[in-house]
Amino acid sequence: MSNVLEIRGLTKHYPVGGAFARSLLHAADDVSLSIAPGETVGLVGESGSGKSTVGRCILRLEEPTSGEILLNGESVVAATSSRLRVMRANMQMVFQDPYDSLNPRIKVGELVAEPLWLSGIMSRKEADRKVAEVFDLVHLPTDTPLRYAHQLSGGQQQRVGIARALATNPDLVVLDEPTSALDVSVQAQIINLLEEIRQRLSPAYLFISHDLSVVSNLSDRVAVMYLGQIVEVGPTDTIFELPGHPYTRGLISAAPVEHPAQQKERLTLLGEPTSPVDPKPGCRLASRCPFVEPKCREGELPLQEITPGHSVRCRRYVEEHVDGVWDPEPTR
Amino acid sequence: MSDSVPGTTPLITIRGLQTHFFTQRGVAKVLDGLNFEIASGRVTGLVGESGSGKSVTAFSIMRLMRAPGRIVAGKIEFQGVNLLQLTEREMAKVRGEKISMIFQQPRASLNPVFTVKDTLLRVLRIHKGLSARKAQRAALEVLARVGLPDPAVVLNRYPHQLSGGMCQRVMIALAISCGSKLLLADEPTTALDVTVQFQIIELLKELEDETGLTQLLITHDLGLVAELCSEVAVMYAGEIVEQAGVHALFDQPSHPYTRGLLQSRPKPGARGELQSIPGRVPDLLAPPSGCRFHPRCPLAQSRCAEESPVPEIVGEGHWVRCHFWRDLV
Repeated sequence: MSNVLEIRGLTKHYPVGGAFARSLLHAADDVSLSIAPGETVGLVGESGSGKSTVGRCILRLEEPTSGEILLNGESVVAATSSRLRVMRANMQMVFQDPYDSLNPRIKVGELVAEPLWLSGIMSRKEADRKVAEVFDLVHLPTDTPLRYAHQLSGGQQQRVGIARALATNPDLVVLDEPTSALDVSVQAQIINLLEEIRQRLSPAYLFISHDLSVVSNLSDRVAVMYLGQIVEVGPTDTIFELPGHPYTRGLISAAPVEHPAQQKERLTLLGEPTSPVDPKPGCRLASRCPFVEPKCREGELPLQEITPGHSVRCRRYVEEHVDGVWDPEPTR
Repeated sequence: MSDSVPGTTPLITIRGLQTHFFTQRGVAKVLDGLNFEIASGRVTGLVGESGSGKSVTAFSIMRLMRAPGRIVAGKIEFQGVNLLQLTEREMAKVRGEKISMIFQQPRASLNPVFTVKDTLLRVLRIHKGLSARKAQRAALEVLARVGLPDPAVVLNRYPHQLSGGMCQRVMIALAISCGSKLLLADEPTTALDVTVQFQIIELLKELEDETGLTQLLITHDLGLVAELCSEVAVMYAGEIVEQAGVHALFDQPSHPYTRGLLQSRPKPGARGELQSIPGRVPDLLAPPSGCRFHPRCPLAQSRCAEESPVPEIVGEGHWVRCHFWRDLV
């Protein structure tokens, strides 16, 4: 079966600095990723890693600098604006801040129905029926469509956001930090809801988050981004049990313990993410990596497949690992 | 007292604290008779969701409540003095020299038109009466102490020239520069990146180990509590519903809300359904009768809606405010 989403060499650069000081912010560099029908792929990274840029390019909310994005085999990048409108019914997005992404002046039922009949997908009557159906799917009370966004709690607002995304039966839903603005107990409700929807309608999800634990709960595969590049991608279990890239290891290690008695082996990355503006050649983690060697700072580093489906962008790991295991001594 | 921590003396003792919010829609009694102690030399966690009153507690201790919030009654005792009876001038001295606070948005807490040097030297000269030269030396020392790699460079920077993690280190430097006895840390790592978050936690740990700095860590994240705290109080809708040593709280959570919070955390690398707490945090303009958690509680019975539970002892230094906590164990 062909992939729902196929991203090949996606690159997005933003010019920064004045007209004469031309610098480029590398938001995404040569990102390739595919998602199979019904699959959930987690995209993890810190702020500035480019994970949201990738999500926004997929829906062409941003124009990619170069690269190809295929939705069910059809190019999103080359689509005309009228064709894009039709294609967008098949790819939807849920945003981080549920309140900011809902128009405060329109009742939330209308908000979900309007695009359905405006785009001619269905009649007004069918659209209203669809609203009742998707609101039921996300477990909102039956009177919710008549309410305004500010009358709902954060969790309910996010349910509306999810209902809106599902109304067109999309094959792909891009979830951009859908639980980050919510309280812990509500976050669990939303994660469970996304899982339930997946079992009933099996859309493919691209789950974008800074929180590896939240992502791992839903994802079949995880891709880790750092400063515009995917540094590791693989099945969720592999990423947690046998992470290859020092950055992935750092992320896992930085997550708080689950119990005060737990002793956790810690790998500390030095300093903070460096600037994505005009990155130096070589590995982008070099200045923070405890295992850095001079060769890490040279040339381009490809993402290399270690086992089928598990790829790592780290020269030392690729050269030195034995059956995926690599336990280097810190070099500084 | 039921809520004192065994083997310690309290640095702060809060009794019957009432902080109310006077809004157009009515009076929200966010804190309505809070009793709470912060044990000296320990890191105490104050855990709750948004709207639980955890930040209001800290702002009340600092007496930084702004309208529509106001402290209406109660007592906050610190080193034998009731902070609520101090003049504004005396309180300003306490804030500079005895109790400090750091916030979620470190850059927003620093004045953007002043360099780190302006801010830090001013604090050192006013509160410690140091000469310009001595203040500069002390400033460099304290910046190095909080792990800033190049103190002399950082000193001349403006907040916007520093990363979020560096700003938080500068805030911590300000907090400890005058020898504060108590640090109130309000979600100090929430706005930071994961790898940087961990570095700040390590720094706060060091400060406890090396200088015995008493800290109140306000957070929604039980993982941070497990990392850093020795005591924990769980707050729900303006009330502390459970308090315990950190191991007891994780091993034997006795309030249904505490248990719900622990179970709703996603575990790294684990899949499957999460336990969640149904419903939402109540509106404190019209809090539920009886136990404030009863509309969301799996154990609730009719008594819970009628009668507000009083603290009951679970074990040494461990108490809970629930009628039916024994059914949970």
